[in-house]
Amino acid sequence: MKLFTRYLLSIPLLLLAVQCAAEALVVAQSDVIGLTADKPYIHVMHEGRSVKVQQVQDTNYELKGYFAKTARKCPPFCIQPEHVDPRVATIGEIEVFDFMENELRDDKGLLIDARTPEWFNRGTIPGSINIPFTTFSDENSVQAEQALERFGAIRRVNVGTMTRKMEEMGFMNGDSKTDKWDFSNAKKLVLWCNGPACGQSPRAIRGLLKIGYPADRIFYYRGGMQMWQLWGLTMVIPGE
Amino acid sequence: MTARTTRPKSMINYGFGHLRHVVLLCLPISMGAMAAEDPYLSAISLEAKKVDAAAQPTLDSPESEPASDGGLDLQSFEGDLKARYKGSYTFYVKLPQRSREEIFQEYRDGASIDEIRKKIMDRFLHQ
Repeated sequence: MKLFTRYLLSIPLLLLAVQCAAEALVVAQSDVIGLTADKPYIHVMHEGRSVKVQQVQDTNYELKGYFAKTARKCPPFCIQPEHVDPRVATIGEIEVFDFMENELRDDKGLLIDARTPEWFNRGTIPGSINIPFTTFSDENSVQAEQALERFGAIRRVNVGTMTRKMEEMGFMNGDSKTDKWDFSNAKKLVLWCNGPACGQSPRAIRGLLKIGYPADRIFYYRGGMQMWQLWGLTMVIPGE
Repeated sequence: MTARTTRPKSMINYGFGHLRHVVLLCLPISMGAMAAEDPYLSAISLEAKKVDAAAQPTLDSPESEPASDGGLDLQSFEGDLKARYKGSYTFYVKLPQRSREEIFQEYRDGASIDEIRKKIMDRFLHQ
């Protein structure tokens, strides 16, 4: 019986291994330009439908249009530092793919297009939701509260001064809590905007940190739309 | 002679008067934060207008379309290729499924038949 149970449990693992091997074989044998050495593409849910995220399958591809340009007036379009904050990790495309396949798929994370709606509507990274950076300018605004609740934060009410002091001193479990919000079950967030010279997602990240969102649950995809398009990765037009 | 007592109403007026001053003092501070963002918001709004959505490199092709719709278009494409460019069609059918899907997608995106034929040859030769 034990042997039978062990055999049953190993079948899904075997199937997963076979699938991964098959995908790797596809990349190796064909002329597919894969996302990684062993991953030709991934699938992401966007507005209720499955979207295949892959690189453009053309070795002659050259980025053209707005995002091919790099020289813009600074300010306001200044090259951003590698790190928004020492506590916030900056990530690249591979980490975004990994996030899409794991946290995003399991509803433990959100991919956030932190640009204003007029940017979002011109095209976004699949799987992204639009939470403009202006949302976090005022933490007491309805928009900010709605966004935080969507991120999994829980509003705290009537938190006494003594309770707060005890939490701050470590006598009560105050991890990931402020006097207004409990971030214990808050999701991981990957924020991005137009690219290395865009200040929209850094502003959103600073706003979140000011509100008390756990820094280790915030990630900055600095490459943004510019790098995403440079690689010829799939994008979607919202509403289409 | 009775002592003149301060009437509650005048105390309230006094309090509100000061409160009004406090609120008026705070307004520029909060508006300052918003005002600081307004020029930036204006700048990014102007910049957004420069983006041509049509110039985007890789737009998603909906995978959830009914098979019959995609199949008919694909059939038309393959039928046309077979009828007009038998040589290219011969190489096309020898390509892996994914390569054929990509070539068809390029066709749907507006690539010319010459570009399609060239791509078929490139893919076939580099298998």
